[in-house]
Amino acid sequence: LADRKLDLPPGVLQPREAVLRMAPYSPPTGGRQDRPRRPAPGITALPLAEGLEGHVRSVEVRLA
Amino acid sequence: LPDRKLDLPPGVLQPREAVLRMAPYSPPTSGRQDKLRLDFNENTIGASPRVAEFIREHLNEAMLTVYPEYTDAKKELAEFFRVETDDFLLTNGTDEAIQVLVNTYVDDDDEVIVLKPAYAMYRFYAELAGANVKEVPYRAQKLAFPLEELLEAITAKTRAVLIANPNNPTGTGTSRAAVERILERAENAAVLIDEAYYEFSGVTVLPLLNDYPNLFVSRTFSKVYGMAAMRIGCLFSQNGNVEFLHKAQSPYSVNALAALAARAAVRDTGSIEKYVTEVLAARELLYVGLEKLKIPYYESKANFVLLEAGKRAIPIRDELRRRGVLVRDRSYEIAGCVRVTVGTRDQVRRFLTELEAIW
Repeated sequence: LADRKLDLPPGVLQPREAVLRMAPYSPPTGGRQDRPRRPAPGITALPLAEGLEGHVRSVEVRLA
Repeated sequence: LPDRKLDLPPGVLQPREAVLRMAPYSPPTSGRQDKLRLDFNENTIGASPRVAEFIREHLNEAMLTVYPEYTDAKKELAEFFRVETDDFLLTNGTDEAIQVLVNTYVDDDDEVIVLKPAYAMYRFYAELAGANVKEVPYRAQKLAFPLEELLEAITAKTRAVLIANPNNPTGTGTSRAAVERILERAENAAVLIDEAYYEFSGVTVLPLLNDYPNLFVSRTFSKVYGMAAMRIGCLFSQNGNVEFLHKAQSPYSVNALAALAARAAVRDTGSIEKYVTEVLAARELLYVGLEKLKIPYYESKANFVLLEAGKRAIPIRDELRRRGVLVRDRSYEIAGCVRVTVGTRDQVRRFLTELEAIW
């Protein structure tokens, strides 16, 4: 812990050891909204109620 | 621990000892919408209409598919609060601010100081973390801030000090100079100043952020901004600390609509100023009404007032509820006291009429 304290910039309050140890997880929280994912043309939306069978048919439509 | 296991119904998985030990906190989550709600210190007339307009303008199907983005909200809120974007986190209300602070700095058996009475979530998160919670009582006389007692309670073992200014439910506040003395005394502890009711008191320590690395300030959009349903607030500190807070926070805890709402809220400061002025006038009206009824009360720096109903605190709360007015019983922590939120002068008049009828 003492060694880790040396790594902190001056004036930073020492966090818990667990927080120091944990790997950071920082997924993006900006810059994605202007890149919408659009469906490829020609795909026919099928009712969800058709389940897997409907999904397979939708893929078939796209491949065709 | 083995004895506690015996108390659990068969088939229930043993939770952590800290969860078993902690006092439950269960505020109502239904049955309030058709009443005059003077029980949770919310804005009693609703959020600025511009908030709903802004959400309607920006909300579309595409937006709902994307994980929340905070760049615009952080930029606009930083400008509003006059800080840098890396000096704060957006949080899911003040509750998450407390939780993140505790998760970042408080370990099992660490000492956390809270005042008594105070907002229940300080103790909640400290106990949940397994901390040793030390309580410093408000002074019996006028429920004044116990500065000297608090300074005396802080030791080298203190890891966090959690304070609301003004305090809920007492309504009493403390000065910036007093907070500075606490920050100096508790230099190795995280000192949280929860400014949920700042707009009504005008006292803030946000400008001290760069002077004290152990200072953390929280603000909320649940009170004066009238957005309690959105669950959004901010936790401020020096950017070196914010890095660790951010590391300990769930990355998308604030939803996209809340981030939009906060942007709109800080653009309409006019409606907030107007509402604060109305509440301050209504608070004076409430004092006059209570004096007329000879009901003792504590002068408040916030948008609520604690009044002494004596042994009838709970029956009075219940009878007011039957009449469509909600107030909060606090007699379990301050003998005989009921807390009433101050809204508009018309709402105060309605409250006083109902109170007079049953007093």
